[in-house]
Amino acid sequence: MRLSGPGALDILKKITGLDNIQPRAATLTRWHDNEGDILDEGLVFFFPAPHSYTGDDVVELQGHGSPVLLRALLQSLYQLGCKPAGPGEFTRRAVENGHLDLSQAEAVAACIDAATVRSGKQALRQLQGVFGQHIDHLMQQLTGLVAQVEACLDFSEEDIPALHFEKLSVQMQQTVIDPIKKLLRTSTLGERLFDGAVVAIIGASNVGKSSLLNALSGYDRAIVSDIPGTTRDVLEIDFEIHGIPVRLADTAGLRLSDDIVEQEGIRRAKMAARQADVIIFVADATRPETWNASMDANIYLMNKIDIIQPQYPRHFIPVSVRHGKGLVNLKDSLAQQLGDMPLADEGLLVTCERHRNLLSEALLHLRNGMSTIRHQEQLELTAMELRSAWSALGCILGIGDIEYILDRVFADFCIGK
Amino acid sequence: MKHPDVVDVIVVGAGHAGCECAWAAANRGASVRLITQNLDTIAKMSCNPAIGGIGKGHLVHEVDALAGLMGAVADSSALQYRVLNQSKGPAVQATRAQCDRRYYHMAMRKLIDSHPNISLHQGTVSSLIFSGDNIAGVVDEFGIEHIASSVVLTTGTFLGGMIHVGDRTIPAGRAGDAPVLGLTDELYRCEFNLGRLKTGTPPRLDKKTINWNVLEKQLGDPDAVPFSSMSNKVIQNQIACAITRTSERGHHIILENMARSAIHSGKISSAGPRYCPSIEDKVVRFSDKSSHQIFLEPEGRDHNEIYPNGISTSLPVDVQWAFVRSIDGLEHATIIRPGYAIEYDYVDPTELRPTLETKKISGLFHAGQINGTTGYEEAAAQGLLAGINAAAHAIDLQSWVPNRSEAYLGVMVDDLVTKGVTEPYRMFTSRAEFRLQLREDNADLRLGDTAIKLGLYSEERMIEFELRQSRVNSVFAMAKNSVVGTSRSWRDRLNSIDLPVPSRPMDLIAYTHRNDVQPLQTLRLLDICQEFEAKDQRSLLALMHYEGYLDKQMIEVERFKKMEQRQIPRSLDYSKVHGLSTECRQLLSKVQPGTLGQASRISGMTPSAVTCLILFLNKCDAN
Repeated sequence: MRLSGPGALDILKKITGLDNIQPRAATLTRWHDNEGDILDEGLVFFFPAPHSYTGDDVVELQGHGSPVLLRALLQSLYQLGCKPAGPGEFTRRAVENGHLDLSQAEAVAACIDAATVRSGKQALRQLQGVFGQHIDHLMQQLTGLVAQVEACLDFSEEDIPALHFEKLSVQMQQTVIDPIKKLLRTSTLGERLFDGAVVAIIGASNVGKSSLLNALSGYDRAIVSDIPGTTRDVLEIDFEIHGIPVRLADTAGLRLSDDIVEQEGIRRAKMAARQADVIIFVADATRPETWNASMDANIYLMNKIDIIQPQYPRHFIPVSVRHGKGLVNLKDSLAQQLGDMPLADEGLLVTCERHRNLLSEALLHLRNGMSTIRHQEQLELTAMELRSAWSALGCILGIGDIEYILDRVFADFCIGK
Repeated sequence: MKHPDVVDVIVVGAGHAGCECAWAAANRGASVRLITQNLDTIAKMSCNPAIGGIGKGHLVHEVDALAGLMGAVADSSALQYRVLNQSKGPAVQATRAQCDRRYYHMAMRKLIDSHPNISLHQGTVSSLIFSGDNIAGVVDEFGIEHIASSVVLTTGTFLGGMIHVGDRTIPAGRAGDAPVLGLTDELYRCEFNLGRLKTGTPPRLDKKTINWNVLEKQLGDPDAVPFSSMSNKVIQNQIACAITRTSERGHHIILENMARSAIHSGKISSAGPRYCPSIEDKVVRFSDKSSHQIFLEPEGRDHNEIYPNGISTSLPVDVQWAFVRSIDGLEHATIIRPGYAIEYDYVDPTELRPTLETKKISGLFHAGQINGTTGYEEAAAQGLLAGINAAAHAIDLQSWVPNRSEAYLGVMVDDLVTKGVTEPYRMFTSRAEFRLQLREDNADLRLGDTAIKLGLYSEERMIEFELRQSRVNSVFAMAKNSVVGTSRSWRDRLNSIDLPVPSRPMDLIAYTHRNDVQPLQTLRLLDICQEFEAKDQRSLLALMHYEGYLDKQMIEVERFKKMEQRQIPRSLDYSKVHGLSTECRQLLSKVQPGTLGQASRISGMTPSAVTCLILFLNKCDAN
């Protein structure tokens, strides 16, 4: 139970009857309802502002967790003037009090929702502010560039060094454009880590699609038989590849069938494939008529190579699902298709669509800016583009104001007649 | 005694803000009394003898577009014009004029005298008269009570003014003029949040004692366009300025005596403008620079004083002397008036509504340096706005608040009332988010309709404005629909005016953007017989230069206007808005933003606080 706000300490004193509560230390005590009846016994903590999660005074109570007693406690707290926190409200207060930037606040939610250890770790890095610091760094670089341009526009009469356009564009490319491009390249992986990916397995009937699903997931999820048309509906399982959460969809074998149920299964299979991020096409090495994919796939598997090893097109990965052969290759290939990349520092991943869109917007403005930079009579257009890029980055962290830029102008240039 | 004539509006102070204020209020039909300490120093340029500059020139054009005086007075007293930023785009190009200080004052006085609705009065206002929460008038040092429904304070550097030179302090509003002392206490009694700011001015030099032969000359631009749309042409016999530089020896003199500077000895603690630092500040902060530029500007045609722009100082007079004589060309220069720093009182501008009326006292308005700004142009523009709204308050007319997308005046007022100031506020073009459309050339086109609506234009000017508007619109429409051809007759025509022949027919506007094409020449390709007026030409070139970009910016403007149109009730109780942090709640209660847009610009407001406010307002609307 967490209370946040200027009245939190008073309320804690009221319900515990304690006068003096040591900050940031566990205190064993009882708490009462407003009639003085004991509601529970446990540990209480007091975190004075501003050194608390929200930046306000924060009080935490750890009781025995009985839902009934908890409800009774809530009732007394409401009577004392508490209001239930809305979704994410503690975090929002932390943002408003300047304890977290917007990207960190988003990381809190991502942390809670993380489906794999890798995505959880990534969210924690973002929460520690690594991503925010990087954006902040880019903004500072950009502030320096904007300051140079604005100084040249607003203070051209002053005794300041002339703007070196060639140098400015090189600086722009190296300090902002390239890093943003690099960041954007991580967005496929970054977003997949949190949003997961859907992988559909398609192929003719009886090529071993369901066996593949079972082999990848590690347990017998799908019913497997030699009878064509065993899988009729779309079967889905969640698992992870290299820490990326994946929803794997096994589909009905694609063949002509008179069976109405199977026909519907085939229609659904096609639909699932169209919606998937990655399509795995499975062929049967023993039956060349199954080798032609009716739709484009990302990965092509040649199954049952333990039985026969025919000449087949080179884009197929040979596997034997039954004997577990080639599955490592398949997983690597799948991870690659999902955008996985070796990263020295995973702190710098773009993990959500909002960030990606803002970074793309910034990049677009910077590219426009690059095309105007060579013409002095368009310098105010360059400034406009740079400032738009700057605002886009600011939106990621939830900040932005011309005063930052003016501060920089005055710090960097001797201005004033 | 009571002054026998009751007026609608009283303007306290007759500097650049006060004069515009009186004029605008009088133009709207209000009777105005302009009260000043000394009728012989009306509109005196206390610092540099120049009007305009980047951002500032834009303001002067806006003042003129709203039928103000500054542009016309500057034109009539100009000694030299320069168009700044000529190598850059039209939005950041700006006009600056060196003016004859004495003539500027006389021309302004003459205009003020000429207005039937303005009466002058010499006196020092020491207290205010109230009727409940409303202002009712002022009392001067002779005990005369002046009764009016609106009062505008434009106190400049006079309010609690204190001059500093070395270790000397002299109570003064400007060297040679007494400060205004009682009024500060009156403002404290009204519970206004007051603070102190600082500015400075350089020593003035005797023209005869300067060795002009060794100095580089800076000439005027004969092609400059005058500030006022009522002026025809810029003067032709322009006077040159000169340029010199400080020396290492001079820097050494300053550094040795730094402890004696009023600013650096700790005697002055108030903030000065960062963009107008004293020479001792520059020497310390930019110690890697071995030299700083100085412009020697004449203060008048038949005038002996020279203004050395760039060496404002609060050093003791003996150091000023030694330092000045360390400068090339000034080895034998005589200081006529010492330089000094001056501290003065200002009232936190977040005490104001965007009409420049104070929130605490109905009918009381503030304009100019009392609001924490610096500069004649900033003062004039605010004075004009305060005049428009003081008249509105007194005789029940429509008030006006310019927004950030229509005028630099809108940018400035919004910045002041929303963010307050920490140093004297000066206009820069970078403060305007819609810079491309806030240009000097189109100030009248942007604001003419407003001026007419507010009743500021004469019949004649109205017709003039409508003609110009239709000229620019029709010629630009023609330019947009024109194509530069490649036929024989086109080739001859292009060759005759030294323009290149395109390889295939192309749109005229695209053609003007070619590197090898002089845009000005392309105007001659349009089938218009008469010569363009210089200001029309300027507007058309700007429109062609920004073709495409202006439309792009309009989309941003529309987005901006949406937030501006969302009104916030003045009486809103922010403690009722769920989810606001204590800090944001305090900020909102203090500023009392009029619109959601303004709320979002308060420094310290977070996006989530704005969201809370939107949700709350939506809920209010739904109920």
